[in-house]
Amino acid sequence: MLKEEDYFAHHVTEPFRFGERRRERGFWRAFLESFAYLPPFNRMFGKVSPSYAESYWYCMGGLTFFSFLLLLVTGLILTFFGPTWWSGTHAGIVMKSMHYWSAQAFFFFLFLHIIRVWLTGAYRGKRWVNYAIGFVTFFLSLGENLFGLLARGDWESQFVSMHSDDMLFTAPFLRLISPENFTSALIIHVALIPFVLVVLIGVHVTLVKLQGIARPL
Amino acid sequence: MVKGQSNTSETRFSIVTHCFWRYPIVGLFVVAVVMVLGFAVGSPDWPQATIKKVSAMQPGGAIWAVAQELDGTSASYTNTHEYGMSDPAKRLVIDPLKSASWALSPNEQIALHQFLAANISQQTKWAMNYDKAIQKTVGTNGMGGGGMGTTPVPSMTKIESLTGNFGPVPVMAQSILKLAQNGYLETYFQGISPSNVYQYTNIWLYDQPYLLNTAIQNGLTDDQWGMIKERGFFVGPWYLIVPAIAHVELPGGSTGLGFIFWNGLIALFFVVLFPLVPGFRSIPKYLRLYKLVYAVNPVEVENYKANVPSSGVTQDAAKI
Repeated sequence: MLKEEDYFAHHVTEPFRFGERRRERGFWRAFLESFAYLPPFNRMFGKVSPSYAESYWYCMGGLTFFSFLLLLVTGLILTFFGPTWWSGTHAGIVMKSMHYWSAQAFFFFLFLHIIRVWLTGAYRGKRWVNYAIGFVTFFLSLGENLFGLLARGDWESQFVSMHSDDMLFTAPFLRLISPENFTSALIIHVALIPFVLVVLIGVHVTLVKLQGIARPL
Repeated sequence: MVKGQSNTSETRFSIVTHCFWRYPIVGLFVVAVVMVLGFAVGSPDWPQATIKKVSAMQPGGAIWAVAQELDGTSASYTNTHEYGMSDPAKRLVIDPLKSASWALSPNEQIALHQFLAANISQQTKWAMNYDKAIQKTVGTNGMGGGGMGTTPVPSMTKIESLTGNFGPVPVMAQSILKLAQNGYLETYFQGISPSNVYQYTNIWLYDQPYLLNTAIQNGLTDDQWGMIKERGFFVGPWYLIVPAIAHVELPGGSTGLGFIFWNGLIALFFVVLFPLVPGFRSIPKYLRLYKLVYAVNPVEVENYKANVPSSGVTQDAAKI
């Protein structure tokens, strides 16, 4: 019989011996798996998990996080080179496009992640706190998306900045923000919201690691 | 590798070695897709509208906007709370004209002085008369944003033939049009701002019928589900679908406060009611759609059906 302690035993790190693993599963799987045991990832991934969670549906949160890393990398490059580069040179336009598609990937995987959490009732009990943190992160990333659009510097930026300023940014508190002010929108997009997002996602991932995979329904 | 296995209904699963080997492959695949799309498909990038181009294309719109800025009915009066804006008449008409007095003809300078010498009610009256006269030429009361129909742009021939108690306003409007068309106005707005602040330029442009009309013609205003669309590109922010529904379909959702209210209510449902309230929180359990999500381990299914003690059965998640 599986006891509760055994269930939570999957949070314990498993030892990894390359030779042994290679004999078990062949070279390529052993090679690919070895990444999980590298120092930065060693404490991040559960090396064993309940069998029902071995479906791609359980990878969606991880892929959302991965897309976020792509957004950070492409976003940092765009930040260093600046608006003239990203809207005026071929390399810049490609990098901006990769940033755009990384955002599409981020929300695509995020939606699938939310659907997985709903269908498996993974918000039950103490996990609700992390569920709520996840949703706050989601809402904030929608705001991040809006300010990214405003900071692009094209026709859509001009129109949406004024259209949103006359609708959303006339509300109390929000009226303090000037969306049609390019510099302000850019700072909010590249510094303010990402900083909060990094903190929230860090807490979210840490809690997932600490609480483990939710029990099956 | 089996760490433990159960055949009871609550815990019919085993602890298996996680199939981490798939992660680097899936990660590389995502990077490859993002790179290919970035190179081959690109991203939305429609050229910016400029004051010079817009005023050359629709001079009648620029003249009308001046009248509305001076009588206090322009769209920019929604933006008076912006830092540095306060009064659109001063910021978008009077100050640019004063700054460019060296470029104005004696006639235009006299008009500006005549306007400044008059009291506020006289100034507003002149501008209001001119605004109404222009409105008559197009048969509508003009801009302000939000409506589904486009705003007709008054023709210059009709504007130039208007007569009435307009004071110096028509001459001032022609001066602004000249400064807009020769590029001075754009440079002036940038010159009085710290670098890369396009605030006054954007506010000025939104007073013209051009920007909103173009958006309406392309189906891009919020009422036309513009929140999830991009100009000239097939994929937009589709993930804003829930706020877009709140904006288009729900009563009052097109106002700022209504939009925040509905979105707040939807957020409250998903964050608090759905996961915590008894009944709601059990919906996934009764829907049983989790069956589509969970990995099915054939060995475990067999064990469960046969109710055979499963100790000793070895399996590998990587093979599932």
